[in-house]
Amino acid sequence: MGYVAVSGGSEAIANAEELLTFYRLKGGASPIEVRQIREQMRLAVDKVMSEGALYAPTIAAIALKQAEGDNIEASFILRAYRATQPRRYYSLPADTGKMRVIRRISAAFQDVPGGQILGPTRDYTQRLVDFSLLEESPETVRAFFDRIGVQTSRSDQLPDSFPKIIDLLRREGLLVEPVDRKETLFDITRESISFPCQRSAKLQSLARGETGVMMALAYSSMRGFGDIHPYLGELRVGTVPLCINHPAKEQPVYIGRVLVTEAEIISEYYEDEQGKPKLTLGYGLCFGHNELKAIAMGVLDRTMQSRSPHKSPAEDEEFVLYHIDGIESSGFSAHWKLPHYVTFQSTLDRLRRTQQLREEATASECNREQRRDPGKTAPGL
Amino acid sequence: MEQQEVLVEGRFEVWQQLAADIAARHRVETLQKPETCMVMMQAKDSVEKTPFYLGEALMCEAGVQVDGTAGYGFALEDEPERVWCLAVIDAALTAHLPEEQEIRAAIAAEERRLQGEQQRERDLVASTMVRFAMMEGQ
Repeated sequence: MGYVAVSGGSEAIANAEELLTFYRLKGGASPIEVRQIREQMRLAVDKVMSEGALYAPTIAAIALKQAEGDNIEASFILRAYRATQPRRYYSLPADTGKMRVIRRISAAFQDVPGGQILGPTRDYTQRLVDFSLLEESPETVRAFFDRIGVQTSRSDQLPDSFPKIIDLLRREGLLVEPVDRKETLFDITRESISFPCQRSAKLQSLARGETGVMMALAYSSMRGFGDIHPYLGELRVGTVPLCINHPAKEQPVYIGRVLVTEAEIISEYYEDEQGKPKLTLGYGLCFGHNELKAIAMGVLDRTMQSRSPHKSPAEDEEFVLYHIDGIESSGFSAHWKLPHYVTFQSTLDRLRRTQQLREEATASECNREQRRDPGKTAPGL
Repeated sequence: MEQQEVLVEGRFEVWQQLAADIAARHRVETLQKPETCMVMMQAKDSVEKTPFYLGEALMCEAGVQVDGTAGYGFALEDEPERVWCLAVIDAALTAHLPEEQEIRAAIAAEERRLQGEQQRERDLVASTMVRFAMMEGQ
């Protein structure tokens, strides 16, 4: 199918864009400060960075303001901004073992070395609307900061680093061993992926995937479209140091800390190459505090390793990887709003011609039958 | 904390004052004006030990010469003034300018402040440490 360009409407388009600002501000409330979005809508900002594939909290907050809170639109804006920036460095591999943890839990083990740290979570709340937020003011905020931590027992100190829970299982010989794939590091922003897909390309695709679709695909597997029953071996949220090599510096240079969420998923056991049954794993890591995405990524990483000859959608890497990018899927879904006048007219032309041919064929059939049997009434009369 | 970590995470006003003092007494030339760029962040999957690209991070960098000695400043996000100040401080430390002691004292003070902030946050996080007990009959 060919596409035909349209022109005109520049003034209406400009006015339509301005109307967005009108509807954003017509309520009369003070304009939201970007800093307020960055700090107080932090999970939305994190989602935009993760799906926009660019860690830039302030730009993500501006994008959210510009998109009036539309997460996918904001990710699109951030992805477009990314295209304007040169890539000058590749970081040293970030070590999540050195994560400055603010949350770390295991659903697989009750007692884990280093302890379970709930951190900032709504997991155990009842999701009742907090009407006190209507009255939040600088005074209530000050009172909160005066109060928080006052009653905290200092007996529990956080260790500097936490051992990986899967390493404990690995030492017991219960996990499949890492495969030495001898693959080069794939960059999906530079090359198109092909199938079967390299693991580094899979992980990069998943890391920038859209949370909702990844959760839906992972959920389909959890519900039974597939044979994966995941356990959350470990979930961590915290910051990791980011370092680069600079030609003028002998040592790696620290440039800041990046907030990430990491999930390690433990699943059914397979027989390894020696025929010994061992647990299998999936891995999730994404920018920001986004637990559902990290868990979904870990589950999908594992589902795509399925050896089943009859793969469910979540186990088919082509199906998963070609449908999880929010910018691509929203872009294609949104493009149906653009003028398709010519293509639709050609569809109508074909339909009219087909109807005409059908009618002519029916009439000709009736005529033939009339000639064979002049006393017979034509169908439908 | 490493010195570079303190410089990156410390308060801008502190570095701005130091850089202004240095620039007032020494010849500062720009090698590379503050510019944003991206760094592709590498991560390593802890399951299969596969390195992969997690995504890019916006960063800012600048380069200066202070009395002929080069210095560089780096930070995440679009922070042109901060990286210029950090570049001036980096050059001053490399050149062992007379202000070195003053700079090191400011870095040490900022480090203590940052450690205090971090400890407070760590205490709050530690207060959420939990040990779920299995209920009887489970």
